[in-house]
Parts: sequence; structure tokens; C-alpha cells
Amino acid sequence: MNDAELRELYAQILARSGDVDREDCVTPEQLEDLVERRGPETARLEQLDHVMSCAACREEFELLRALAQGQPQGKRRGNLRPLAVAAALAMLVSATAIWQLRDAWQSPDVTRGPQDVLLVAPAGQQQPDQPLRFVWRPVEGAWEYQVVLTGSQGAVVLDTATPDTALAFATPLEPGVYIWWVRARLDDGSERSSPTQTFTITDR
Amino acid sequence: MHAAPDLSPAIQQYLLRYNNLVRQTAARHGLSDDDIDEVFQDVRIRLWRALQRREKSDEIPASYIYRTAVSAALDLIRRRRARREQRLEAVPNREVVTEPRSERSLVSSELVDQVAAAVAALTPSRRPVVRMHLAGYHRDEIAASLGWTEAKTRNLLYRGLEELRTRLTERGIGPLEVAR
Repeated sequence: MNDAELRELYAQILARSGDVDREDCVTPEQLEDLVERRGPETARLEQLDHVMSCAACREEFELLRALAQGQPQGKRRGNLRPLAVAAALAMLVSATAIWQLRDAWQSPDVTRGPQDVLLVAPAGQQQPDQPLRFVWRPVEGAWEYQVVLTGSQGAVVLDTATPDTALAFATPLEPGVYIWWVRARLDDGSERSSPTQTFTITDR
Repeated sequence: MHAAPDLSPAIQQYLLRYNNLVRQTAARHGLSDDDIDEVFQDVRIRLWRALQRREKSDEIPASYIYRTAVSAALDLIRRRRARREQRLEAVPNREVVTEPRSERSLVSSELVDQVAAAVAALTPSRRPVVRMHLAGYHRDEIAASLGWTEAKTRNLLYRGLEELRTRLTERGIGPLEVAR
């Protein structure tokens, strides 16, 4: 069996993997780490093995990979910032320090680092007449937090930024399931994200 | 808070180039332009918001634009997964309708099963490399994805494909099995 024949069969294997439960899929944060080659190699190999056998994960991986690969080189420094070389070096040093610290915290089974945003509230069941207060733990070096809340259908209910680690949301929500997450924007230009958290607004 | 200035011509031009290069890279592996357009629309909105806190748009470094694009892509992925989860929950007991299959498609399906099982049984360190190769990635792309040298990648790929062929032969699958 030659390569072309094997590839044709493999395309059918991938096509079959399309409509499956995604509980075992790698997380979006793991995809990001994979594209940027962060974390232990053993974990990355395992994740890549899954991504290359799952059509849905592969598509998401390709989107992130294309963003990393497609960055314009050459003129970008001159166009955007005269001191880009110094800035890039400074960012490289700080990013290296962050990732060394992050690696030191990681066990083979843990792919999230200490710089990730930890969500506190809301979670679980929420009463419809109680105002919502989103709370998360501060991340060192963060100058802004982006808070995103979506309905269970994926419609964005809230997408806002704040320098604080709490946000009051007074708009009453319809009963149902909601998903939210927070992304911290750091002084060095990098970002850290929380995992998604779900809560339910109950019926009266 | 002051009013946000428009994105500067330098950033507009950079985003245009970035978008084109991403499309070219993505097209090699069949990614739809729609996803890329959605990400870049979001990037423009986020940059515009970021400018509300900055004096001049030229102060936005390229690395910031990249991080913004990754952030927009991750949010797109999360939204899609949430929607998909909801769809699956809405139809918990989906009926699987199977149509009668021809003998040829049955043979082909069995062959696909055998290849899938043979790939799954490969040595773990070789398996992702073989999967990437079979999914159409060039050796350079595999090496870059894993941070390996070209020599290491070539070696693992060669051994992986050998192992795959051995496992397929053990399952009784040789060149004649895929005759068309």
C-alpha cells in the first residue's frame, strides 16, 4: 500500500470522526499551547495524536496554526514600532521567565499554569432575581480583564473589559444555562485565559 | 477615557497582509475563509477598543496584534463548542439511520477500520508523526509543530510508516487490498 492510498484511507478515518461527543477533545487552551509549543513534550505528543485523529480539533488547530504561521515578517517592525527590537527582546526575556515558572509548576497531567485566571463566581444555580456578580482571582501583571458571557446557544450576552477583578451585571437573564470566561491581558503583551464556567439561572 | 482614534494606515496595511498570509497558510489544509474573516473582524473590534486606552495606534506592537488574533480565535472556538454541546443535548437519543451498503463500500469501510486500528496501535512517539503525514502535512511542518530537527522527524516518520506497513501486513492488508 503506497502513501497516496494510505492518505486516502486516512481522510476517510478523519471524515468519520466528525460528529462525535467532544468531551475527550483537547481544550482550546491546550490547542494554543500545542501551536506555540509550550509544555512538556510528552503531553504535546498525546494532544497532537488526538488532534490529528479528530476532524473538529484539527480544524481548530489549523486556525490557530495559520494565525501563528501567517504573521507578516520583514516590514512589520518598521511599520508598527521603531523600538520593536528592544521591545521584542524584553518580551522574550519576560515570556521565557514566565514559561520557566509555569513549567516548574506543571506535572505531566496538568497543562494549565499558575498565571491562568481562576474563576470564583457565579457557578451552579443562580436565582433569577439576584443581581449577578462575576468574580475572579487577580493575575500578576494584568492590566485588563475581558469578561465574556454567552447563552447556551452560543449567543454573546456580555463582552466587556475591566481593570477590576469583579463585575456587577444588573441585566436580568432568562432562565437557562450560561457559560462565561475571563481573559487577562498582561503588561508584556501576552494573555492568560480561564477555563469556561457554567451556571444556571433557575425558574422562579 | 478619550475617543478612540481610527486604526492607523500602518495597522490597516499590516492586518491586510496578515489576513492574506493566514489565508494562504490555511488553504493548504482546507480551512474555510469564513473562520479567518470572523477572527479578523473580531481583531479589528478589539484593536479599536484597545486604542481607547492608548494615545497613538502606532504604539500597538505586532506581538499584541498576534495575541489579539489568538484570543479572538479561541473565543470563536469556545462559542462553537458551546453551540455544538447544546445541539447534542437537544437531541439526546438520535436515531442512527443506516442505509444498506453495497459490497464494495462494506469492504472499503472494513479497510478503513483496519487502517484506523493499525494506526492506533503504533508506538506512541511515532503515532502523531504518522498521523500528521497521513493527514497531508509536509515533513517540515511536522518538524516545526514539534520543535524537532528535520533528521529526527524523518527518522521517526520512516520508522512509523514501516511499523504501520508491518501491522497492516499482519492484518492481511497488502497492496492488493486497495486495488481499484
